[in-house]
Amino acid sequence: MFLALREIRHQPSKFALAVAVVALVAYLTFFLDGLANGLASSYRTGIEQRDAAAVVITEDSNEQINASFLSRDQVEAGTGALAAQGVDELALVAGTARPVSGAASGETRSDLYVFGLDLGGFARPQVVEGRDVVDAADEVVVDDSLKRDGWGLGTVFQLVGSEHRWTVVGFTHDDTYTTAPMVFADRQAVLANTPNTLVPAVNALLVHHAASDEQTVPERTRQSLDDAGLQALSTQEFINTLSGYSAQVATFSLMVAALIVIAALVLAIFLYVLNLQKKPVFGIMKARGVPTNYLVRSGVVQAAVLSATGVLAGFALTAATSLVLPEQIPFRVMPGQYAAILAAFVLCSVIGGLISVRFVSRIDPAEAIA
Amino acid sequence: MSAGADRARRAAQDGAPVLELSGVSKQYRQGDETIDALHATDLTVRAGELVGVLGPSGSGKSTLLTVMGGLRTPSAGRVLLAGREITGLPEKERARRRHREMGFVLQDAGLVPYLRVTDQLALHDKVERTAADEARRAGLLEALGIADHRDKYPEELSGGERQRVAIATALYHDPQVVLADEPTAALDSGRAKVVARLLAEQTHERGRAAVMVTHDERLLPVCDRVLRMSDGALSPC
Repeated sequence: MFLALREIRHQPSKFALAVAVVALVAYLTFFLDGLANGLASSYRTGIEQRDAAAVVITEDSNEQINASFLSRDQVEAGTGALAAQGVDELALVAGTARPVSGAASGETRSDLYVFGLDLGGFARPQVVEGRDVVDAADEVVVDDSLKRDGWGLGTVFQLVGSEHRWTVVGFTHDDTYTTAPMVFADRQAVLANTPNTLVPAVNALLVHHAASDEQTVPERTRQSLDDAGLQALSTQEFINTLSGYSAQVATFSLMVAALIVIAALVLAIFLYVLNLQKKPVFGIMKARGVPTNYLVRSGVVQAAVLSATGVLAGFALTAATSLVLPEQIPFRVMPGQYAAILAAFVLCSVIGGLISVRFVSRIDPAEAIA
Repeated sequence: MSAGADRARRAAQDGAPVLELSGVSKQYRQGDETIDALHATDLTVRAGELVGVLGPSGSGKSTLLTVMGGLRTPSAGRVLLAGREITGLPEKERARRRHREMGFVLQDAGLVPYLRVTDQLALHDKVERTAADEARRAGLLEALGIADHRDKYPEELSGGERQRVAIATALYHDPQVVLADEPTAALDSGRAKVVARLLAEQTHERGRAAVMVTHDERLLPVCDRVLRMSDGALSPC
């Protein structure tokens, strides 16, 4: 500690350079992680907020809800088998909306997903502005990201391929599905007014409670679902099937990991070069009898202090950036992940700092005299 | 044992052998050739004595110093420090004894460039995890005439001041023996004499043993005993 900190204090500008490099790479890493989380959660939140433990779709669908159409018999078999856990039927319509009244009317189109649900059931939306749906036939509540398209309370819109007029009576927050805003309507009304390009059908069953901590759906129920040509996915499994989700999460994770390794390497090389310059000083101290492991410990402490300082500076930059980021860019800070990134940075740089162990231990103290 | 009792015990040993070399020699292999850097040497340095070793460069006096200081293992013979052998100990153990029982004054002072004067001395306490002895530190800096420079870095000091700091550092932990390697190489003759005299004074006052290796004949008057090194052989002068 003593040598490490005294050395930094003696030449702060030299070490500030190393901290700046780590800070910038950490900034990039945090920022990328925030964007990745923002994007990933804009795929997910609409599903996560439905308070469902599992999603049941047809076996024929190849785990794609867009290709899952439950027959009347399948719906009956499924709801029967899952009655004890609580179940709701979901009619999902991917549509393009065209406002016909209010400020947004005109040429603006919005892509969105209509979730036809039991609006009084467990999966019902949480309205944060306006009111709940009262007139089930015509009223909807929508995600507040549609406000950016000029939508407001009272906006009336049609879905392309349907003449039915829906009226917005409330807004929900963070209800997006595969990055598009969600619209919540009564299931019967959705089935009655499905755009003519689509088949009106129940696409999935949402299962409210998990059967136990280990199993979302018990084996016996799974068997009855299987007999009816249905399969149950846990909510997380279902999210992973969303097209592009897993690939995107994997890509971003790899990029974040690569950045951490690069930053650690840069710091390790910097410390190594610094140690090379200090070879005569190490020789003097070893001649005086300062133990090698004391010198190595100082080096490791120095690496940890530099990287931790850099990462915290990077975090401050990220926090400042997130304040000025436009709303359209999904950005989400996950404290757990940031803590993991901080730990990874420090760990990698300490390992990098340990590279110089060999170097320091090989210095012959007699050279300081000869 | 209290520090006071320890010092009293050491004072009672005044004149006792501190550093003993018996039959110490050192050979190096260079290709097929064997070079005798140091012929079989016997030497005893006593407490309160400053021994000067004079010789031109390449005469083997650096080899003598590295063997004495436990930095190199002799090819034959034994080195005893305060009655206990240091030859044959693993480097880790020798480093510990160097740190606790020896003080080094190296060429160009051998200070750590990023430590202020007080921290040069404090490093010993940090490594040993002992509490800093403020009074002793202040006393040493005062005695060596560098009390005003306590918060300066080595680069801010003159060559002579640096060597005084080096002497203070070497003496701070009250070692058995101080080994000085060309301590005045970078100084003009006036300053060189002052530094050498300070080293002698401190050795005498504190009852410590010291060996000063140098090629500068003008420093010899301050030594209690002078030995001459020539082609790896040590002889009285």
